[in-house]
Amino acid sequence: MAKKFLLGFLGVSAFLFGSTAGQTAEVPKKAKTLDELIKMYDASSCKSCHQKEYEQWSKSFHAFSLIGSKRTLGSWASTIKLILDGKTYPHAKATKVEDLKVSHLMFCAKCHLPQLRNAEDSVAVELAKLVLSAAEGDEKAFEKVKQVNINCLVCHQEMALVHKWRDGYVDKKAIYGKKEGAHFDPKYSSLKKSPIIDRSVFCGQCHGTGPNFEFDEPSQCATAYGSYLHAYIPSGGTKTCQQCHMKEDNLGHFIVAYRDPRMVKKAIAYQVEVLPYYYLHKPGVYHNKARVVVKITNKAGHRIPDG
Amino acid sequence: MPMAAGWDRDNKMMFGADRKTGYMVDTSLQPGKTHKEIMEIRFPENVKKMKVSVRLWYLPSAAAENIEKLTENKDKFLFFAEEREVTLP
Repeated sequence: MAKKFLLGFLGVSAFLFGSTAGQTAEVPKKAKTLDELIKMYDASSCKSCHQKEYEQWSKSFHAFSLIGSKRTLGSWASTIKLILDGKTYPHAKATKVEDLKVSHLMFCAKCHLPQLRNAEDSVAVELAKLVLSAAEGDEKAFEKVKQVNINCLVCHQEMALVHKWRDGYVDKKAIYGKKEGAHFDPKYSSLKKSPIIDRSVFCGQCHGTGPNFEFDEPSQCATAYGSYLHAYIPSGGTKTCQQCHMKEDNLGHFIVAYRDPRMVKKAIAYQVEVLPYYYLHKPGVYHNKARVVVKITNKAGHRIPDG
Repeated sequence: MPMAAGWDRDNKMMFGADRKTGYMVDTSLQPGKTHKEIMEIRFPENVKKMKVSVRLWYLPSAAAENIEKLTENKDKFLFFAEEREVTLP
């Protein structure tokens, strides 16, 4: 009986252990500094074997996920300032940078830096200071902020499994893709299959469905996946995000959108018709006119532009 | 573009992901849908031929009235351009 109770207790412990970990089977050691976080998600070793993919990624906005076209960096800085002004968010319990916690930044970091959930609050303070300095033109801070991003490990490990009750929790020693097997990297020695890495739901984790209600203060950034689900699919759409943004035109890990003319051409059909004619303004008086009809058809899998 | 009111409690449009929780107005192009714009342009007096220039710009963040001052491929992206010579019969 005592043994049964002990086994039962271990079972409950294991369940709690798994569920409190959130994203992984093991409770990850949390980073205490930004450098520790950068080291935890260091993907530089990927480059030696996956050079093409690494080069493509390095030009993508994923590689500058806290900076974007610099508008993202500006938005981060203005959001941090709003949190700290004591008026916009009077219940945020933060009026100076040192008060900030990871939870204050996750409504942006959920997608722009999901690995921040594996950092202690001291990292949130460090990152916030750097973001504020970088947005004001501090080049050293800017270079540091660039080092935290959506890299290989974020997509091919951290975010690789969506249905954790079904597929389990992420193995931190594995790289997730479309195959199972060995992986020639001593730190990540196995390849595991992510059942959703080539499906739209994978991208939908961040290119979202709408408000992020899971946070005490919800945010809403990208809603492309919501548009995909509720407008593109009902209109008869059959493609995945990856088909248009990665596979077609061999765009690969560049995963580009409006910045690339190939994407624009695929996304929008455009037609101009012009009819010159004589408009009878009043008896005996004609106005010479041209009627210009412009038709634009959205061929993309989501609204253009998205929110 | 999809427009959101601040914290979804009035009808005042705001920017900023931290302030959005829904959409108030959405004028974006919807998947599979065609949007049509018709423009009537009057020929100048005694002119029977003119060049019509149609340009579709995407402005990620700036207001349309500043378009000439914006930097191309940074603040404004030219999606399509077409010129037509129009002659009255």
